[in-house]
Amino acid sequence: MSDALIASLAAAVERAPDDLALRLHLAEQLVAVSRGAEAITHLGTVLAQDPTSAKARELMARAMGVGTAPNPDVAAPSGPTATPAGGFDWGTAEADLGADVPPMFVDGAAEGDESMPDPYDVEASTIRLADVGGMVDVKKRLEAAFLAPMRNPELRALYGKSMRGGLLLYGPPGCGKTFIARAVAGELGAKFLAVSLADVLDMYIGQSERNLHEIFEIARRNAPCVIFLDEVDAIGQKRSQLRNSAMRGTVNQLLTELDSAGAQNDGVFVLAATNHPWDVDVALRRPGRFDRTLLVLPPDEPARESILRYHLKDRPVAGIDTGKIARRTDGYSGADLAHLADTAAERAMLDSVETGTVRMIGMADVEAALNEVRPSIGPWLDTARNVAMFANTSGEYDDLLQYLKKRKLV
Amino acid sequence: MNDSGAADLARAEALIDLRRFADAKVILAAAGSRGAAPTSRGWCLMAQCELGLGSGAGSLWATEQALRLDPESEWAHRLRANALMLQQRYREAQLAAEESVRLAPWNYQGHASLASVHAGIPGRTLAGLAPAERAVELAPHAAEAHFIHGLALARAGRRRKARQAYRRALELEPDHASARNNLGVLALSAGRTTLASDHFTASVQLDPRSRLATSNLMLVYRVLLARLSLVMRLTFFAVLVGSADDSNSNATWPVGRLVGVGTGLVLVAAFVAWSGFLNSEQLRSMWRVPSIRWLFVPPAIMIVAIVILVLLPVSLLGWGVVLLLLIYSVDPYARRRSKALTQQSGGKGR
Repeated sequence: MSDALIASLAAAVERAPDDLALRLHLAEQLVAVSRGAEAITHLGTVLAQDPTSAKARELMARAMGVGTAPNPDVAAPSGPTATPAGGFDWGTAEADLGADVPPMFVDGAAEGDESMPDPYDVEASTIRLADVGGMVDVKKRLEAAFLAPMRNPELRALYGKSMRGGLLLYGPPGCGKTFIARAVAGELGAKFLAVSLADVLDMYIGQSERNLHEIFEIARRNAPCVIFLDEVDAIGQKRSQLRNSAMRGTVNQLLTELDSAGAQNDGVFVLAATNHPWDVDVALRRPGRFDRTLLVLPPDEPARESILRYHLKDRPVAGIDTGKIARRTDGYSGADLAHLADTAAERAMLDSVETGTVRMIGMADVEAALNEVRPSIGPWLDTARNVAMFANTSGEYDDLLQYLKKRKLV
Repeated sequence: MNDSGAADLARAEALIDLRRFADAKVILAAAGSRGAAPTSRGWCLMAQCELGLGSGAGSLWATEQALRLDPESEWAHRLRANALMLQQRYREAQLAAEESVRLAPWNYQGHASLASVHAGIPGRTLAGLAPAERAVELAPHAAEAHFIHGLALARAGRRRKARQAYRRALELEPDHASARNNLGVLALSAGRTTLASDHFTASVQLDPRSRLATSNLMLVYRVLLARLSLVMRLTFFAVLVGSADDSNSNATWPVGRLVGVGTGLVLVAAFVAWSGFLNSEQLRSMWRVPSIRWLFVPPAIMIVAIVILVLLPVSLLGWGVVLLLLIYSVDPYARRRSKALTQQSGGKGR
């Protein structure tokens, strides 16, 4: 980076002092040529306007590190333990404070430092599969395909079963994939780290990859831990469909992390969920990555009944026959059932406002709501039907095909 | 634009890339409501969201906002052309695309957009060729340029060259679902039904949301089964005539029937030559589609009738079957048969 270019960048910043991206760029170049003191001035301006800017904070840390370059005009300090002319004993003060004071600047060493709070929430999942109402088939397949091998390391070793690879949950939206993932974490006695596209996506080139790496590092530090990649079709979309090279990098990073998760770390389990498995990059579906899939379908009758009970239990209800409603809501997703309960409650509330008499939510309200709320998974089924009929050459969607046949959709 | 505004636009752009148009629209709208200064780029991204959501009017409005802020925005003019095409306002779309080319003559996307507009205008044939060729000259490694070139060549009736252009697009981008679909259309128009079926199937596999490729695939299945039904009907009549001849002559050797069967085999061979071999996967796929499955019934009935005719002397039974065949001689799908549709846009352009 030539001084002339830095000078032109500085001139541009002078002309557009509010352009924080430009100012950050200038600061980055200054840090690169060890002109930390100048960079600090610019970074201070950026942080004053946007204190949350991770990039600015990172550069500030680097600038403080390089900014201590010897300045001929300033006498070098004589060392931390020396007693200066003012008489204050820095050495004693530091010894008194000991470890209570965190280091001022971590200079990129925050990664892996357990004293720093993790930027992503790692929860201890208390949900168990028993808390998932109904869905017996899903639970059985989950047990066979994932939980049993995970729980029995000796048997796994005996049969030479690798721990590598994650589980991909797929199915229509609003059918409880996240809830099941939490239940899996609970069954394994593992912590739960939910990751969505918003946690990964970053405007700076390379930052999305760093975010993803950090997520996996956090999971490794918190092992046993289940990483749950929600909407993995967004984080790991087919690279051929991506014009944005930054997102391609994210897919590559995810592949790297998945490949290293099994080899380097015991106790990191990767679950992912998607409504559109056909959009997930094929490389992610290869053995050792998301090679096991589980179709999570709309809730069955017992599950629908328990979902309805859950959504109505804290509301003033009277005479609700949840069994009858469950029988009449075949094909409704969990989200549809929640919407149904909301609609029934809204109807009762409006009626109470109109009549001036507060009344309970009754079966009539639910019946009326049933006429309004229709299953929302229709568009998903249309696409799924095409996939099951025309893109199932290797049999990876056989369970989906069976379901569609059961519903007489193929 | 401040740092957070730029971040919002970058996030929206990434979401558009992921075809999450509704999510991207929410981010752009939220950025606006937080007081972020409107920019031409922001409005162009909003127009892209609207286009992705199929709203020509919304997209048009967004491009107008973009052009209000930056009348010289090539991108905004190009998006405006797409929005106008969606509303079938061809003349205005052409003007917008031409303006885009004028502003950035070095950008292949403007030329491709203009060619795409010409290809979409009913009745025009050769007008799209020049801009499509220019797009390929400017970006020989862009699959989209070759795809649009194929589109323009097909509209000009140069099918062989169109096929080459689509194949080149697929070489550069093997997952180009629209190029696959359009190759299927060309194959079907050349009578190569099973090849068309392969292309449409691949297109649906690459983009299961594509209604166009799915409906083209259904069409090709119907054409195949209608042809099979016709061949079986002709075979039946050939055997029937031979069988009737045998019963009149009291011959011990059923020469007439064998001639009929031979004629039938020739017809089947002609069918295979005409349509190509159907592999087991294609047959399975056809069988999986409920609306197609029952179209197997007429040819199946005729195969049974042919077997009966070969084994039994013609009698009242034979004429009964003839009656039955007359009932089936009108293919219920024949009248509904329509032309396979060409995908006008690859949907990959910015």
